[in-house]
Amino acid sequence: MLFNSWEFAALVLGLLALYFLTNRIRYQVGLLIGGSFVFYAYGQPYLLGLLVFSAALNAIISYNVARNSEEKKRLAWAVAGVVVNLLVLAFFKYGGFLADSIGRLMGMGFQPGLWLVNLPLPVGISFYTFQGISLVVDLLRKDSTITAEEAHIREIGGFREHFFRTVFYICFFPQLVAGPIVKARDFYLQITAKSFSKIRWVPAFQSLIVGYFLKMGVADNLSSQTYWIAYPYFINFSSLDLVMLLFGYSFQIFADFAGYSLIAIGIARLFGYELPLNFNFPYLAASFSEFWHRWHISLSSWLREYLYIPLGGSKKGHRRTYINLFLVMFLGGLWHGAAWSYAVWGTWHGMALAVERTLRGVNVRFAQAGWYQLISVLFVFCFVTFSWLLFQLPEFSQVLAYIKAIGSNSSVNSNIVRLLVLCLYSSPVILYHLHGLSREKGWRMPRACKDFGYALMLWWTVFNSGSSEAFIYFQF
Amino acid sequence: MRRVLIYFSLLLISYVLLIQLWAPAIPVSENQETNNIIRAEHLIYNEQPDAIMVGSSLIGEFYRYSNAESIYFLPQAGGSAIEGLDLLRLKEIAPQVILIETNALYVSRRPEFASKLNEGVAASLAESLLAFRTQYRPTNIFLSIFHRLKHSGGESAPHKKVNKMALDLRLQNLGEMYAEPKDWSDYDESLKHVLDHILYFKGQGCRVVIVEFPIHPELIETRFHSERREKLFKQFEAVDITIIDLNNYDRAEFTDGIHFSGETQERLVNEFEMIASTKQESGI
Repeated sequence: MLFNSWEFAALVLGLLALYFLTNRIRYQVGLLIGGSFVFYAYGQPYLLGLLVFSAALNAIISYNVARNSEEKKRLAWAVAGVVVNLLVLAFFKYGGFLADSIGRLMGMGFQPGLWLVNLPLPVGISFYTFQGISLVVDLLRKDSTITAEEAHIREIGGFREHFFRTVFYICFFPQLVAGPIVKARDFYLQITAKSFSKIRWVPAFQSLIVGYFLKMGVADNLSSQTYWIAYPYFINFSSLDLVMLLFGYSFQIFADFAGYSLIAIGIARLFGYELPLNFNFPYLAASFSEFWHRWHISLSSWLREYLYIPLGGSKKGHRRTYINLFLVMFLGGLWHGAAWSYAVWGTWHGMALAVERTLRGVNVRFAQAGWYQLISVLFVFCFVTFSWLLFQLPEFSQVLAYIKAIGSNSSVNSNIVRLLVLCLYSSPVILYHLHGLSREKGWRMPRACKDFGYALMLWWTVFNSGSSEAFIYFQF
Repeated sequence: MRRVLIYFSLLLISYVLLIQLWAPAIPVSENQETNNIIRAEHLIYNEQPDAIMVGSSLIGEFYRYSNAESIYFLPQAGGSAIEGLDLLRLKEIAPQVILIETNALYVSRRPEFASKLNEGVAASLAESLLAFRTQYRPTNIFLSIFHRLKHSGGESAPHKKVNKMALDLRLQNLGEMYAEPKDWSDYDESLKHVLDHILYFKGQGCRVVIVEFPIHPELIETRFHSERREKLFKQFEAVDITIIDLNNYDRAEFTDGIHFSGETQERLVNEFEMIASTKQESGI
């Protein structure tokens, strides 16, 4: 079910109407679990089984991690939990990719497990398996970071209670299919009875207005233009058109995913839950490490906490740090999709991070100057933008053809209407980032201006929405 | 939040009133898809013509050349004539003549196009309030103002010119693509749908003309076009309709190997208008 569909609006309104009838926690959580199942099963009910299986398995394993007093047994259960989650992910998401890659490697005649290629990709599997791992690992940690859930389990010892809460944590519909990836320790603490008067309605609606505007008013409109970044359509476009299309795609992918995240945050707020911030004006980043602290924050912090730091982070010498960086970014790239182009995309970013780290010691005289910061921001933005080509074009040969066309099609005429439309739909993302910049600088906008901005976004969404498209990150 | 709602209501009411009173002409639209909807909405909400041509992006700009307005061109860029036929049938529009462009019938059918224009809140609002029609989206208004400023000397149809380099690049690429074998199952389905529509419209008393548009000489002999054309003519051989095959139309000039230059479009439009206006069935 899409966030921008009437069915979804009906589901949320229906749930809200029932949610505050009582403030008994069991009733409220049960209602949200039921709603989440309807949300997930809508359109592909056969995949609900896998979600329930994954949630149940994580509940059983995490219960045993928390309940056992013997350290070895705790560790064994936790390892089993991580492995099972990774196996589920590997089988459904990467099975076909691995079978295909092995087949190609061994020659055309040998293609083991080709049936894996035809397996349906369960929506949100990359997100909910990562949440399962987060739960198991958080519970394994020592006393200094002990979770409320562990204390809860030890205190009351009720499996049924924990099972109920875990299914809710894994399946909570606003973040189920495309994040933000919620860490167990941040979520379990919030599972309490909610009353109507305690809901933060204004921030919830503000998130929803901006989220829907970015998705329907910007991303869906840009997608009608960036549609042309597809082989073979682009090969006879002018160089200027091609560059502008690429910038448009960069703004589109931001508006699409940031829009989704804000809608998820807004919907969760309506039910009294806070999801983590996923985007913090990423195109203002003046370095690649800063970019990854601003873009898809819930994934990058997950990778940092559950992969980079356990691998040793930057504490085991230079060489190991670089290996860790490459590995984390390679796997982070592959997390986005079962194709080598995603792995290359991740490694490409890993390389940028490594080069940046190497240059960190170099003393730049103008580092604090405004113009130097501006050039850094533009450089990072252009690098990131060109990297998105690996997202949009599935084959390297097509990526190369696109770059070649940029270089060779300078004599082809540009389409003025297309360029104008791209500029028009990109401008809200630029303004959004300028607003972010002003916030970071501490400049305050008058309240009336702010309110008019929200009204304007709402008006634009009503009159100028693009044709309803699925969210780009659903495919991951 | 109260202030947001007040501002929003003011914006909404002002825009609805402004468009209702002003209703500016919209000579350009932001993309092909929007243009598809604008052409379809215009057909639904205005007086219905005697002759309609349904097709793909090949006829996307024909309406700009149609001076006599004896044919209403209903394109479906990115799709094919089927969506147009779906819409005519759904809205019970039965003109005297229907011309069907057949070149893009292999493109997958998008049944939601017609239903979207017929159902839902947006369709109901668009029926009574101009501001909710695709034509009057703020982006289209902005583009039209820009267009008017740029062409302040007067309106003219855009004359798509041929860019030799772009054409060569595209032809080479199309040649490679069209040499590969294709799964025709979707196409077979589409042809069945078209046949079903043709029989329906004939039953309504419409004259149906099928038009196979010119194909670039370098591509006509490709495996793709040979197979596609063979299936097409076989499908309709038993039906009592006029088939106009422009395969040997030697005056066609192409911009990208598939679409036509402005001059060719203009010439084709004139000829189709003659066909539509004559009572007798004829060919070019």
